[in-house]
Amino acid sequence: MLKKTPMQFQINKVFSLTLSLVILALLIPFFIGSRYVFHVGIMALMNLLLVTGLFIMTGLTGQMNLAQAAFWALGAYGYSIMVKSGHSFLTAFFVVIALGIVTGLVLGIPTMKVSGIYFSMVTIGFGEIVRIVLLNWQNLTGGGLGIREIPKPAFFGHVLNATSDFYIMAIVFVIPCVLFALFFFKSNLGLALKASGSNKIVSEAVGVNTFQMRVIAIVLNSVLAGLAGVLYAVYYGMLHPDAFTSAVSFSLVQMLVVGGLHSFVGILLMTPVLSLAFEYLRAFGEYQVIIYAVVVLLCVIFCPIGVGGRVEKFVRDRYVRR
Amino acid sequence: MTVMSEDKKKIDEYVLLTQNVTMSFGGLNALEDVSIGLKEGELLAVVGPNGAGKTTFFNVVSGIYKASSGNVWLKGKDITKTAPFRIARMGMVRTFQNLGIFDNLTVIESVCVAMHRKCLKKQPFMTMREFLNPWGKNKEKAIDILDFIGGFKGIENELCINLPYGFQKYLEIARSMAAEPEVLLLDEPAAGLNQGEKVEISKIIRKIVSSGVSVMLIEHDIKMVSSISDRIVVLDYGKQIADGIPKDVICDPKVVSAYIGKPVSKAEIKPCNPEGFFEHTQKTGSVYE
Amino acid sequence: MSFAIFMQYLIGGLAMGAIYSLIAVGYSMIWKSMGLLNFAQGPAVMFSGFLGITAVTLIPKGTNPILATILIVLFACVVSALIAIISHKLVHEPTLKTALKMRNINYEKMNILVATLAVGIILENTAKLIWTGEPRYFALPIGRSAIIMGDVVFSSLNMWILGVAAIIVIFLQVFLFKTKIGKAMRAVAQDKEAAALMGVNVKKSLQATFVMAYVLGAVAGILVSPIIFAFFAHGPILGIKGFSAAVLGGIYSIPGSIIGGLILGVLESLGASILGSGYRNAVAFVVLIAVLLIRPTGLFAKKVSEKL
Repeated sequence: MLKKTPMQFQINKVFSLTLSLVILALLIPFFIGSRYVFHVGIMALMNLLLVTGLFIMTGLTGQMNLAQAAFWALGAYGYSIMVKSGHSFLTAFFVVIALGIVTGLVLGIPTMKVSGIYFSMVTIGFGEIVRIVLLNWQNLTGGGLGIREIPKPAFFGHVLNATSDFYIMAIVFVIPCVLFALFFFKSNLGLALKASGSNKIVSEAVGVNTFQMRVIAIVLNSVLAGLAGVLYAVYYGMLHPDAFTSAVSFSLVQMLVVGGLHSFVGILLMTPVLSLAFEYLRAFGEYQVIIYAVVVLLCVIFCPIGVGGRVEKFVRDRYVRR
Repeated sequence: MTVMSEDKKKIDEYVLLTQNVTMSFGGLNALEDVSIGLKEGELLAVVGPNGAGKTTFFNVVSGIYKASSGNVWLKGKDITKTAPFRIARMGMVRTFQNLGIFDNLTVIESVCVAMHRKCLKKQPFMTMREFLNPWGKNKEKAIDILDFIGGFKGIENELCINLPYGFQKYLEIARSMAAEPEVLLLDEPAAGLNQGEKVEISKIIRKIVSSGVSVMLIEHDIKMVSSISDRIVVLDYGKQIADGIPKDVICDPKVVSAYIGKPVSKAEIKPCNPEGFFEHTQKTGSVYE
Repeated sequence: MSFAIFMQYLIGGLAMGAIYSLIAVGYSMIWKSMGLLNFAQGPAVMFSGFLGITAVTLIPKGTNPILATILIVLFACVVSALIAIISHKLVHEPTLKTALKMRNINYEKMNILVATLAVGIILENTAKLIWTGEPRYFALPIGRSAIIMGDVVFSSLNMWILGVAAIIVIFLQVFLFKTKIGKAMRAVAQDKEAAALMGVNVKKSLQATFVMAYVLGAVAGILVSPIIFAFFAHGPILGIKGFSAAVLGGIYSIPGSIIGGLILGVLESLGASILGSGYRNAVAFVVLIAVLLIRPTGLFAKKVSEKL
């Protein structure tokens, strides 16, 4: 058995390094200035937020979530409905957070006895039910027509309309969440969460309330995804249930696995790369999805800990002193 | 729940007590009418042939299984139906025969998890200072515990699954101690260890008992067990067949029959001397203080 | 609801249920032997529907309808079996191998999940590429007439579906219990190591299990496409429904999966008649969640106590 290097040693050095890299990368679109680059940046940031939620729920706590798109949709629709009925951005924002908490509780509490692969089945069912309800509840969600003309918010008197505006908003939304996640992982609560995902029985034997940890993880995931939904609604200005299918959920899980199930640094690095790759593959038209799936498959077969996980390991092995 | 007064006296006398516990799976009785008591500061060993129900007993006591009938009392409180994590917070921690380590965590993190409950009340999230300097009070305390058990110098940041098997066993004990238990259940802590490691771990266990923790131990190695325990209980096919000090128990014909598999009479058992069995301890000094 | 209409819904539901049963058995077999949830099962079923469309164009006009149908089914089965073997060799075996090197179970589960998901996506999009993204009409040479019994009118296709499914179930029983390969597959499903020690070629058995599951799915795909049209997006939906059926009946039990499928088909049909066709698919998911929350092992699973 090859000796693996500890991933947690002097973790803050590696985190700080990655974070600096990410922040630098974030500044690049401003230098290029093209609308398309800003667009890709927004997609990458949204994906990052969604995958961070997935990381907390699936990577750390081991609850496989195959319906992230549903949480995303709930946030987007929740925000749009509030804003279209005349409420302010702030009210809608808090409603989305509340909705996220409620959704998390609804999913987390009854599933106390459900674990592992069965839990992933519940999430699939949940995801499809959400999509079907969104498609059929005409009065509330516009059904098959979706919601259109979502008013853009205004900050400091300036109504957002340029793509770069939305990019800045995405940064303002996503980076604090990522920082929160980083602090969370290294905290006592985060450690307990991680332990409960790592080995449920043993963590219970030392006093960790694994049920509570699971619910917290699901709620956090739900809230983060809901915030991503707000971003989506604000940027695109219109919603349709077809944007939140299970295929989308699956591709998010793929990003999680390729980034590294247990490596947040890997996620930080790989999610933008994968988002970029997906956009780049658009040039191949119909072959885009297939090539992407094949790439993901290759990553999974050759890098079981995730490409990002491999990178993190590499950096720690070579450059971090014991 | 009304309790008879003699029962109550018994419950208070023991820090951990099981009363007429029966555990059945379908038609099979894994445990039948087991009543074992652990006194404060005592080291009690639970032994028996394979399949006797020892681990099942631990599972019932630590809340993973709910007993089909009977009660379990911890420090005077009925914990028969309590959830395992709550039992752990009440002061009883256990180790596991073969499930025992965290896959993704390092040594130091494993120990910190056990302490998280106390820390959570003060500070659930990380402060900026902790982000910049991860070696705070929490971790120092963890290092203290690791030193108490011994042998962990320099490998605090290794992933648990990378450790050699013996270290993993020691780590389990260290982690359990970090939760500051009053009662510690050790499930075959010496399984798979060589003779030297067994002596080491025996010393550690006695050290733990001396520091005030009541310990219940499952082990197969009779020699080791009889040299360090205050009392031994023997289970066979889910029933209690003996309960007493080591010297008496290992010469008990019922116990010998259970282990050999056929009935033996008292006359066939050679006079035995438990202290003499564990030669190592004679040479290196007894593990008894 | 009049009796006649109720009977029509019932028969339609049973027919769809038979389809779900076939898919469910595929899930159950793979789950039992490999602990894998094959997310590519649904897309594979959908794919075979398209294979049927191609097969129809290959068969000369005027061939006996029953013979033609058999040829179409054979074609789909053979190609699906090939897909099964290829995907098993290229995807599952390497993934399982690398997963075994990692001692962390979470990685193993997630990687295999994502791998089968990816295979499903590839199948789905290949179908989209080859046969375009629009729903394609597909008619079997048989089953085009209507059967009238008193007030009750239903398509003979339903009868054919039920008939074929019943034959397959009997064949499955015979195969699993009487043939050497079948017994080997059952042994491997119960205990891989013990089977290996008994001289069973585990690798080949697992491959056979896979092929079996895909072939069942292929038949289901051919039978279902005349009803719901061949459309690439049907893949995941069929997959989830077949999977709900397996969970309902008990994913560890093949007879359970069969009965689960029938029950689900009927529930769905009756549910759609009450709630409206838009919510038709929701029935399967509600059933799924309800079963998972109340009795995850399914209706017909034997109670197995888990020893720690």
